[in-house]
Formats: sequence, C-alpha cells, structure tokens
Amino acid sequence: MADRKVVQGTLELLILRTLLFGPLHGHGIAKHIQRTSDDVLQVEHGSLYPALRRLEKSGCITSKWEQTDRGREMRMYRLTVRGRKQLTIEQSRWDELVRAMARVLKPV
Amino acid sequence: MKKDRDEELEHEIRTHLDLEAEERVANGMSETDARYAARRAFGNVMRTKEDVRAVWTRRWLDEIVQDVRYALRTLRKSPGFTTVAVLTLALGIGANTAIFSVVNAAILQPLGYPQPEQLRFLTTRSADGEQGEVSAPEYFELTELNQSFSVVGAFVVGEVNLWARDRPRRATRARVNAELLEALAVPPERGRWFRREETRFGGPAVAILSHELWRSTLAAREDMVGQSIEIDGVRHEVVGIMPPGFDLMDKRVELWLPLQLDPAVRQYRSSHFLSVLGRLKNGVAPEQAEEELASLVASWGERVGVSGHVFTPGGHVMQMEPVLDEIVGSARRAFWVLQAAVGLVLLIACANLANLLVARAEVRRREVAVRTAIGAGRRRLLAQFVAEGLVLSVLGGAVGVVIAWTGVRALTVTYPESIPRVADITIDPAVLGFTLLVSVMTGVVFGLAPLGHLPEGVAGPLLNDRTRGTTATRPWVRRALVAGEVALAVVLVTGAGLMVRTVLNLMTVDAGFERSRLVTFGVALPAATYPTFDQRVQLYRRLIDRFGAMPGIDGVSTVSGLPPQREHNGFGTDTEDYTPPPEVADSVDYYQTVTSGYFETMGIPIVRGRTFQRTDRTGAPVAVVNEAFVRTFWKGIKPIGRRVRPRFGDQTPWVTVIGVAKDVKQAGVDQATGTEVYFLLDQLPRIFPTIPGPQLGDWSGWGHGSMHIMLRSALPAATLQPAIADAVREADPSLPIIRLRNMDDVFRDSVRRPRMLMQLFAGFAGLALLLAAIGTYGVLSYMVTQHRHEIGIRMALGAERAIVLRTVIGHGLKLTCVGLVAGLAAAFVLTRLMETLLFEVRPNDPATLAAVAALITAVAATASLVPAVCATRVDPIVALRDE
Repeated sequence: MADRKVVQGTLELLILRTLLFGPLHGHGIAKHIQRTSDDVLQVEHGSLYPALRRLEKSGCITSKWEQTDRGREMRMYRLTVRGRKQLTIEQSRWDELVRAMARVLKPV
Repeated sequence: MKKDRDEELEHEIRTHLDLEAEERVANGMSETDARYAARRAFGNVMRTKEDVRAVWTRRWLDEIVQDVRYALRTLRKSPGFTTVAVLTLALGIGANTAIFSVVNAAILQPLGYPQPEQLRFLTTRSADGEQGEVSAPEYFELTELNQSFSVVGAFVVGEVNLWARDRPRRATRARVNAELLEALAVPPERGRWFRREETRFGGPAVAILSHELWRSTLAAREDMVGQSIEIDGVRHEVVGIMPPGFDLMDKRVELWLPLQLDPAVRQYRSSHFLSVLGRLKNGVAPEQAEEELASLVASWGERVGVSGHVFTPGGHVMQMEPVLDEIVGSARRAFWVLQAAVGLVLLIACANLANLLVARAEVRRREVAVRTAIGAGRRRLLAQFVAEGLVLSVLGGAVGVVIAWTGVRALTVTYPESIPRVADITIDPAVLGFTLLVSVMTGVVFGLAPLGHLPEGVAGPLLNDRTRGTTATRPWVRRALVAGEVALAVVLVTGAGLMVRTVLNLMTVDAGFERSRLVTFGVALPAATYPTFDQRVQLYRRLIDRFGAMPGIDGVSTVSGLPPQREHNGFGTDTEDYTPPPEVADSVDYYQTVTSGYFETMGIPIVRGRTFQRTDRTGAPVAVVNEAFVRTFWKGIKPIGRRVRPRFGDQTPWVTVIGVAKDVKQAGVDQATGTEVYFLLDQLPRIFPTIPGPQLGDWSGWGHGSMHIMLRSALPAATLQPAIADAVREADPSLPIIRLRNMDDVFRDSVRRPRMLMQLFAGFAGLALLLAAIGTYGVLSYMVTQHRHEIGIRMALGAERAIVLRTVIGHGLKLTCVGLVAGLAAAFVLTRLMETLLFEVRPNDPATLAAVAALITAVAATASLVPAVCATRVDPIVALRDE
C-alpha cells in the first residue's frame, strides 16, 4: 500500500483527536494515528513536532516533562478545554469538507 | 531561552527515535536496521527542527514572504489582469505624486532662507480693501518706529537691458537695499552683499548676479567678481554672485542692483512703489509684531507729525503676512483643488481595482474553498488578499513614480509661469514617502475589498454555492462600487466643466479692443543713453515711421502699459465738478501714455468726442478718458471739455478731456476695469513740467523709458520677427526686443493659471470617465456572463434582440443614474470650494450640470453597449447546453 501523506491542517485535527483519550508523548501520538487508521495515514513523525508546537502556541494543548515508569524523561502532551472546543469545530468543519469534496469530485 | 527550547527539542527527538528503534528491535529487527528505519519514519530531522523553530519565531515573517511569493505567482498567471491593474494604479498614483510634488514644493516647503518663519511681507491696504505697496516715507517711518523687526528691507522688481556676449538681453532685476539682503540672510556664493552705504542715494554702480545668470548668460566666468557688466548702458561692477536657486518673492530675479532712493521721494507719501520685507527679532512672536504694527497705525500721524494720507485704523493701513502666503497667494486653493481632484481619480482607480479583485475572487472561490479546507485560516486568507493588493499597489507605485517624474517635467515645461516656486519642484523624499503611503493604503483598501465580499471563511458554503450554480453572493458590492465610481467621475467632470466654462468666459471677455491680427513687443530706453525726453520720443517716432512704411503692416502705435494686464500706476487726481466723498481716494487707477493713432491701431471705439490728432502734438494739453472714468467721476455730466489735473507737483496744468474711449481691460480680463486717463506722449513735458522720472527712478514708468509697440498686421509675430529685429537694430543695436508676441498669445498668457487648471482638470476628468466606463463595462459583462442561461431561455422563447439589448443597457443606465444623482449631490457641495477659481459661472451652473449628466449618460450607454451586444449574440442552444 502506498503511503498517504497527511494534508496540512488535518494533522492538527488528528493530534487533537488522539489526545482526547488522554495525555501522550510525541512518539505515542504518531503510533496511535498510524494504528487507528490501519496504517493508511503515514504520518512522517518529524512533521508532528511543528504541529504540536502550533497547537501549543494556540493554546489547544499543553505539555509537561514527566518521568515514565521505565525512568525515561518524556514530554507529555495534554488537551486543554480550548483544544476540546477546537476539536469539535474542526471535526464538523472537516465533515462538511468531506461531504463537499465528495460532491465536487463525483463525476457529473 | 531559545537554547533551552532547542535542547528540549533535541531531547524529545532523541527519545522519539530511541522508542521507535526499541519497538522495531522488539519486532525482530537488528539494532542497526532499527535505528535506520526509525530515522526514515521520522523524516528529515534537520527540517523538523527548522519547522519547529519557525513556529516559535519566524512564523509571521515566513508567512509574509510566502504570501508575497504566492501573490506574485498568481499575478504572473494572469498577465492581462495584472497589466490593467498596475497601469490603472500607476496612473492614479503617478498623477497624485506629480500634483503632490507641486503642492509640496510650492505650498508646503518652507522658503529657502534661514528661519523663514521670521520673515514678514509688509503691504498697505486702502480703505476699499485694495492691497498695495508701501510709499517711501511710510517705509522710512516704519524702520524708525518699529520695535519688532531686527531689520526691514525694501525692494523694487523690474527689468533692465543687459549687454552680455555682444548681444542685448532683457533681464529681471531687483533693486534692493542692504537691509533687505540682511533680512533674507543668505550669504552670497562668491563675493559679498551690498554695503549699507552702497544702497544710499548717490551710491556706486554695483551689481550682484544670480547664479543662474552667471552660468547661462555670462558663461560662468571664474573671475566674474570684480569685473564690470553693462546694465542699461552703464558699467556696473559685479561684487557678488548669489547661490543657486536664490530668489525673491518668486520673481525669478536674475540681477540684484542697489536701491538708491533719492531723499526727495520722502515727500511722495501717496506714491506706493516699494515692496517691504522684514525679519522679526529673535523671540518676537508674529502676533506680538502684528499688535505693535496695529498700535503704530493707530497713532502714526501723531508720531511722525503729518496729516493727510496717513495710516488710520479701518482706513488706509499697513499690514503684514508670512512671505510664503504672499508668494503662493491664490495658487494655494487652485493646487489643493487639483490635489483633491487627482485624489478622486485615485479613489476611482481603487474602486475599479476592488471591482476587478471582487470579480477575481468570485472566479477563485473554489481555490479559496480548497485553501480553507487544507487549513488556511481566515487571517491567512485575509493576509493573502492584502498581499496581492500590496504587490499590485507597490508595482503600481513604482510605475507611478516614473509617470510622476515624467508628469512633473511636463508640468514645469508646460506651465513654467503658472506654478509658484517652479524651480523647487522635485520628487524628494517627502514626495516619495507620500507615494509609498498612498500605495500601501490603496493596496490595503482594495486588497480587503474582495474578502469582505466573501462569506464567513467556511469552506462548505463556498463549495456548495458553486455546485448550486447561483449568482454572485453579494452582487450589490460590485454595483455599489461602480455607482460610486460614476459619482466620483460626475464630481470631476463637473469641476472640469466649470473650468472649461471659466476659461471660455475669460477668453471671450470683451477686452475693449480687437485682439486678433495684432503683434506687440517692447523697447526700453535706458536713461544713460537716452537722458532727455526728446531723445526717447525721437527714437519711438523713428521706429513708428519705419514700421508704418513696412509692407504688411496696417497700423502702428505705441502705448506705455500693455492691456489687458498691466501694473497699476494711478495716483491722486483733481477732477473738475467732482468732490470726492470723505474717506474715498480720488485716485485715477491707470494713467496711459500713447502716440497718435493708438485707438485706431488697437480698434478701441471712441464713444464720445475725438481721439488724439497730429495737431495735438503741439497744441494745448488734452486727454482721453475711459467710460469707467465718466461713470465714476462725471455721472450725468457731459465729459467733453471738462478738465482733469494729476496731483503731481504744483506746476501740473489742467488738461482738457477731448474724448471718451470704450473701457479696455488693464488689471486682467477677469477684473473690473478701473478708471483710466490717456495722454499723448508728445504732450507729456507740458503736462508734467517736472517729469517725476528722475526723482522716482526707473520704477515708476513715468520717464517713458519703455513703451510697447503695437503693430496691426495679418502676419504673425514669428513672420515679422526678422524685419522687426532689423528695424530695432538699425535704430539702436543695444536695444533688446522685449517679448515679441501675438496679442492672442498675450491673452492666453494672461489666463494661464485658469487654463492650466482647466487642462489638468479635464485630463483628470477624462481619466475618471475612462475608469468609470471600464467599471460599468466590467460589471455589465459579468452580469451578462452570469445570466447567459436566462438570456438564452428568453431568446429561445422568442424574446427579441432589441429587448435583450434594452434590458442590459437599462441595467447599465440604472447604475449610472444612482451614481449620477449621488455625484451631482456631491458636486453641488464640493464645487463650492472652487468658487474663487471660477469666472462668470456659478458652481452649481445648471447648464454645466446638465451637460455633465448628458455626457456621463452617453459614456455609460456606450460602455453598456458592448456587453449588451454580446448578450444579443448569446446562442440559446449553446447557453442551455452549457448548464
């Protein structure tokens, strides 16, 4: 199966969606996106970090360095109230877009 | 701070890679392969770091660069649109910059003297509000009485014959006293100023040159200072050269001579001929000085111990104003009006561009929708529209500067006499700053216009709209823009129309004589080479005889003051059977000296009595007066045979009036004609036994050192030029021929400022009309495209082409009507600002407004015609199949 690059803008949506289930570190987010999309969405792990910073900057998520059970220093990302709101907005917007795109792309 | 962030990121990425590798090792990969795979899954680490850093710091900068790049790319993709947009803007911005250059140089820039705000120009004002010069006793008394000025100087501007490079030349000269140079406080470029003792009666023949005269006429000789030059037949020693651009009251002075007032002029209290300019003492506020002057005026008579023609509050007073105000004068309003007009042109250009961009935005709705979908926020979209607007306006501004530069050159070449301080006009940093400001503002304004036209930045509705195939979301935006353009165009065209009417009125004013087929030039006889009155008369007579015998010349005469505009030279005059009411000066406004045959040559009708005849040369003193004289002094009294006496010394005899001539314009065609008395040149020694010339010097015009030769001929000045040059050279090779012109050109020159205003206004109005027409055309063709389907159906159902045509044109005219009404209302208010610039036409002149309405409607109909014809060509089958 060919890799599907995630379009910009949607990545943030995916991150927010992932964090809905609880705080997670960067690697965990990447893995979760890959797993839940049955490996269709191949997130280039590196592209995750600018997106995380953008979300942090806009106040949708916060981050904190935490010690894991295995004694590793990890930066954990957590959804904020604002992030939750943004997620619902983005989600409905996305749904609308998908419907619209489907109509546009449907051969006449 | 940044280092910490970098370290954190570094740590985070390292952990990420470790985890990924561990996971892969757990899945059975070798340690090396796992590490490699982890890196591959991560992508370019360096780029990630850079991207993250961009989020922290360079985001907005990057975005701008990105937006500008994107804007350039999209604009390059539609060169037609870009060219139209940039050219429209360039014209608007260029015209604005050019006019602003003039406003800046002429009105806003301070004068080029040290502390110019300290300089005050002093004038007198008569009881009837007429502003005038200062008489010699008034000047001397002011210098003695005042406490506010550190120095007060006097000057008289005139012309001289200059002998340079073996040729005679006329040059503008200012006679100034040393005090004036001290007041202006600009040191000479070479040499020195006049010393105070050099500008007293009996002082030496010295001269200071302007830099420009030294460079052009005197070939910039290095050893000029100390050399002598011949001025009016007298050798003058050059003592200094002034720096480039140095001038006085915008008179374009080429030569500075010492003002050496004869002490005797202190008795001519009513002979106002001095221009007076003072420099306020440091720390003295202008208001303080004005207060002091007012209090001086209140007690002037007491202080100087005189009565009769002395300053009195509310009557004849002395007043002061900033020098710049005097220089710019009436031009100020003219140029602000022009600036406003050209600003309206730019507004129209912006409206047009906004319209183009709205149209484009509609075409690009899908693009916008897709960009919104992939994460472009409303803010980014906005930024992109503004970036596009800015790129367009900066490009337009750049081309505009080129246009402005050309425009300024054209203005200064075309209207050198109509623009104050024309030499100072440049496109300087202030002007460039103005252009930049205008460009950026226009960019933002019309860049935002299409965004306002878009619905809230949600992707869905946009895409939906398209699929439903509805028409424009808010069509009224474009229509309002076009109606607005029409309204602005109406204002401009009305202004232009009023100026056209003004110039037409000015050009057709009855100046009192037949101006066509009339050629004129001046000769000036210096006192040094023509010391006696008889010698001067002899030379004029020789020229008259010579021209009279010349083929192609039907009449020749001479006159001291050239109509329709000449210097005011009146003074107190006794008039028989007339007692002036108190507080009213009994001055005749204009004295005119002519040779016999003047009225015949000029074609001035004699309404009563007779003109001068050859026998009058030796007969008793006689005079001809004008109708205004009779109206003013002898209302209801038979003028012929009555007498007048100029109050010029005790020996002046009474002069009998023999005729009344029709009024001839003297103060300009737009001014009321003043009272005028004509004397015969040959009789002057008998009318003025003591000719005031020697006392007053050459500025009074009473020595008749200069006369205008009038030639009635079917041949134009250019054709007559060689013969005239020969005749004058033969009479005296040292005499320059002064301003040889057709009388028609003299008239054209006398209304040059209204003409300039008219031409520029007409140009701007034309531009405005063109832009408004393009706007109307654009909206209608868009409408026709949008409604092709509907038009197709109608035509399929049998609608006639004429109906379709009428519908589309009707739409255009509806828009125009809205604009026309709004525009006429605005014009009604705005043209009032032009009132002082108009002549014999009121700002809300119904005929002009009607003509404007007709013109605008015609232009709109024409602009609508093309889309209308397009609409009739819609093939119903094609239109329907399209859908």
